[in-house]
Amino acid sequence: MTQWEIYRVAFESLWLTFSLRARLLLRQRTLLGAVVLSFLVILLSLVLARISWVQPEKIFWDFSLSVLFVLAVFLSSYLAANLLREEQDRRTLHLVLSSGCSRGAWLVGNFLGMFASVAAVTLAGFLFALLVAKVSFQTSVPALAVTATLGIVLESAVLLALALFASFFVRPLLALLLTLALTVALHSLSSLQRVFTDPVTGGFLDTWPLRVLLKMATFFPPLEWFDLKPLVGYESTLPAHYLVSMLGLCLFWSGLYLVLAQVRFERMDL
Amino acid sequence: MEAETILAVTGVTKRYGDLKVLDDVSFSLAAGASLALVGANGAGKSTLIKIILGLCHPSAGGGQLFGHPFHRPEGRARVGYLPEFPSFWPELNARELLGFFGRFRSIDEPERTRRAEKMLSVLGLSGRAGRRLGGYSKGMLQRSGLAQALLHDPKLLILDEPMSGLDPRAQSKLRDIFSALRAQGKSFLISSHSLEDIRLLCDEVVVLEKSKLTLSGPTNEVLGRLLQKYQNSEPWDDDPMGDLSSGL
Repeated sequence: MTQWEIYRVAFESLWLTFSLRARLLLRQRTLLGAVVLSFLVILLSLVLARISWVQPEKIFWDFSLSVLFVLAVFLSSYLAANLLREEQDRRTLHLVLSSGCSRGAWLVGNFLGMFASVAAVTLAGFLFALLVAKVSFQTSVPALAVTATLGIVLESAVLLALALFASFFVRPLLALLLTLALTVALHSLSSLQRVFTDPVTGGFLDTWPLRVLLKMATFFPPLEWFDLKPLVGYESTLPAHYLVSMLGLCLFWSGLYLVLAQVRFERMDL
Repeated sequence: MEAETILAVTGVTKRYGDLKVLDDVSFSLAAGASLALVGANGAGKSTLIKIILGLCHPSAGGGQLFGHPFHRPEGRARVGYLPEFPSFWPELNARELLGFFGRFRSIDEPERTRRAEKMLSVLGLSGRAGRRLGGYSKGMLQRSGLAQALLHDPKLLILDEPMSGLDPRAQSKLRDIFSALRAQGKSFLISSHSLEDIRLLCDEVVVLEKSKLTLSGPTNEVLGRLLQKYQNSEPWDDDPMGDLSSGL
């Protein structure tokens, strides 16, 4: 077998694993349920927007994007944290690997399959919100709503890789909880830093555990970069280089976690 | 002319911490020949199969499958593997499952569909091939597993306790299929407790006891010595269950 053929087979395995994972997930009720739930809560957002006194459109987008964000976070963490254990228990992992698929192709293929499914759910929710906004407010779609949705999708890729990485070391439930806890913590970093550097509260909080905590955060993805929801509804725009940075961060962090997961996976006995 | 060696296991040792599951196990299998792995539960048969398929890493030693080291996927691609208690993605049906594994094995259309339909028909699954695998019985799952293992017409079939959990009728059917495959010249590596199956399908036997290879050779000779040994020993010798049952 030439080197070229080896690459071709590896790519085919990756593509097959990707398409299988995406197909399996789209047939599961979990994703369908997530889509239905997002539609219902988006409709509820409209009701809340209608009964508010000011900025109904902003309130609508705030709620709708928050729903899509929460769904994407939960779905990514849940799917990725359970993948390895589920495939091992069912022995489908053994069958696929014994069919000539490499561990790397299995890992990346499944990651892409899960990412495509979560992105599809987020996109479906966004399109529904777009439709509702168009009919209810009859204004043009805020450009930042599109960017904020892109941020949610990119963040879900990072969380998928993070949960997948964690699931190679701990049980699925713990991997899920760890990912969710990290998501909450990493989304609160700037608030914590603000309190920390404040002349009044800073002195009081300037203790070594907090300093260590903030230092440790540099080893994790800066998730706040992906969070553009609060900007929607204001007449602000984002510079193009911000989008490029967001994409770069997503590729770097999800790539890093996948590489680390692969290093662990290669050494694992199945 | 000497037959090509399709499987070579060389000094394989496997440890889990202080526990030695396999200790310096070596044997080989020539093309067209069949070999049975025999041993009590926990003797290391399944671990050895996992090492051969690259699912476990040996602590020492290694080997080759079709001339490729165990950890490389190229050798595994030429093997058909049926695990003990196979189960699949419940969202797929048998036709889709075979389609997926057929694509994995690089079988192009229309050959893939032709082979899948043939397998489904031979294994008596045609009528239910459109039903989701989640609703299949154990026997049907076993047959689906065999279909995926045979789809790419492999030279070597690795079967881990292929009869376990099946009713006698299903066992008899599966035995007929294996015999027909054996007559076609396919090689088998079988882990089994059934001496009847081993006699029917295998030319050679490798006995694993307490993680070591203790006996190997032609089937009749090894099975004869093994039976003699068992007749001269107490049941469950060295087995903690033996103490337990005597206290009942």
